Amino acid sequence: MTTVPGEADTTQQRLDAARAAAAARKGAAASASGRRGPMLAVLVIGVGLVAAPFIFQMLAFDNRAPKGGEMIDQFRPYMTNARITKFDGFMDLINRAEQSYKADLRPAVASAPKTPAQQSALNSVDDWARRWEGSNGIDADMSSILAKVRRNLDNYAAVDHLPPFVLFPFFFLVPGLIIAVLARAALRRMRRGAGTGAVGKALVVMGVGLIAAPFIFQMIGGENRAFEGNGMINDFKPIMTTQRVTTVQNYFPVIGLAEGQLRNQLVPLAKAQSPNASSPVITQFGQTWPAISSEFAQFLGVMSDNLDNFAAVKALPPFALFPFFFILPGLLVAGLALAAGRRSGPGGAGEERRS
Amino acid sequence: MRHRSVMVALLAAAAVVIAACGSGGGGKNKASGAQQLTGLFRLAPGTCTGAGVMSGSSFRMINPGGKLGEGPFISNGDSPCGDKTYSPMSPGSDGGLRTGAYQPETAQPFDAGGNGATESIAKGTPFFAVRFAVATNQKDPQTGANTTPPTITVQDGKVSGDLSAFAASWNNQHFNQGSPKPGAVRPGLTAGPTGSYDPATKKYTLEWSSQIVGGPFNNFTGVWHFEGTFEPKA
Repeated sequence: MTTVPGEADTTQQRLDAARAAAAARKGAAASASGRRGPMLAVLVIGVGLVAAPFIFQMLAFDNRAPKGGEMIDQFRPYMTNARITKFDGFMDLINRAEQSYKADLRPAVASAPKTPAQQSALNSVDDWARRWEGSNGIDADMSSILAKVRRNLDNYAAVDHLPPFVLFPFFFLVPGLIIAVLARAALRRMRRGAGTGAVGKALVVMGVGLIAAPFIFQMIGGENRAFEGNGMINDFKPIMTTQRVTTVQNYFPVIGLAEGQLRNQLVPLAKAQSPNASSPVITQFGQTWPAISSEFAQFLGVMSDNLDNFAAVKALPPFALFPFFFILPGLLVAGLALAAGRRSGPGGAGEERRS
Repeated sequence: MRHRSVMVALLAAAAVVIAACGSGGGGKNKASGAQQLTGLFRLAPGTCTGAGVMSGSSFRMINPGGKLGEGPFISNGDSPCGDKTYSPMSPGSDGGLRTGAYQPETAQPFDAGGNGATESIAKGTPFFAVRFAVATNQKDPQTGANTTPPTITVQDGKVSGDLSAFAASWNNQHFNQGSPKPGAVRPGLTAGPTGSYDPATKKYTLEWSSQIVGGPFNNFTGVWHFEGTFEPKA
């Protein structure tokens, strides 16, 4: 068998080329395999994001996100400057009535002959006056609650401007699911020796999206809503307890009884003593009391009904950390996707992989 | 075999019919001796005595953490009694509480001042400057839960029953005051109804307590005492 000169060279060249191509493919596969670690980490982050709402019990178990949303909704009518100013006005009226009682009405009736009912009324109103005043009195306590609520009106507004609480779990679930699916697809491509390609780029976009989300929602930057929310939750912790709400509930019968005793017993007694006697502030207190008790009762009802909701929100990680629950995974996803998309070895470390 | 099955089915059907007949008709359960009192529990108006202890129908309220029979009870500045923990009640346009039927609250349950506007069972009762009203509602206005019509049963002179439909309205707020509560639950101090019924004189007493669940007066307990005469439904 003879070989035509030149033909052998061509065959040899083809053989060499085929060997080189096989070696390149093997090298590429080995390189891709070496980059699977970062992509596996991306997959884990995706799964972690899906799990986060369940771990934090935002969804299922305590259902903290819907409870937080319910609380925000129920407090909305009261978290306005006008409403708190109205409450402050009520407090001021009760306070002036108490002062008027001590300064004018009580001296007028104290020495008058009294029936048992009138004496009982005097005792009841004295009890109210005693409990109303002082640094630990009803006035100081309720005024401090109202001051705390007023101080947090802006914080509340900032939280209220966030997307609805009920959506928050899905801000973890949906990106987490997309990232996990993309990472899985990238890993399959890499196992075949292909690069991460468009899937890798999509993961980088997802990472950037996660980083951007807290800024878009102004959780950080702008209104700084996460930090404002954190401040509000911390400020309300001492107020939103069963013990504190029960304490405020028990103020109602004290003030309400005094108002009734003033209106039904002591003011008429003073009139009987001196027909020209008048107690305009106490009269105004009596006339306004149904509105006062109604408004305060509704507010107290919202506080009482939301103790469980507040406890659920309080049990979440601090609001101030929430931006970082997006930013950190975002940085990691984008960085790891980029790292997985680069190939090392011949062909150049740091060179973008082919699609 | 087939005849035996038919016989068993017939006997079972007969037993069901007999049982149904036993509990129906005049509302008397022959097996247990319990009798359902369907009609009007006419209210005797509450009256205050000089010492402040009262007779007739009344309402009291226990502070959170209190105990049945012991209190502490809150004092109502608008009570005309010497003991202001009692708020006397007066019969309304129907004369009292109906069993076997609802006496629902009016379409506009409050007037401009927040006073309860429904006055079929009882007249509005002044309570901390605002009158409360009572009603029995198919759908409880506080909880939105469905209820059953009031039922009272007597056995050996002692009454029991289901007043889950009973509710109070005060100052633009609704409070379920039934016992049991809708859903057949008895939270906290919720108890009764208990009392007595004399078939000869038709005089009755009816007492129950109902702990408020939710709202501004969460854990306060209403204690209701009705007395008067029972008028069976014709």
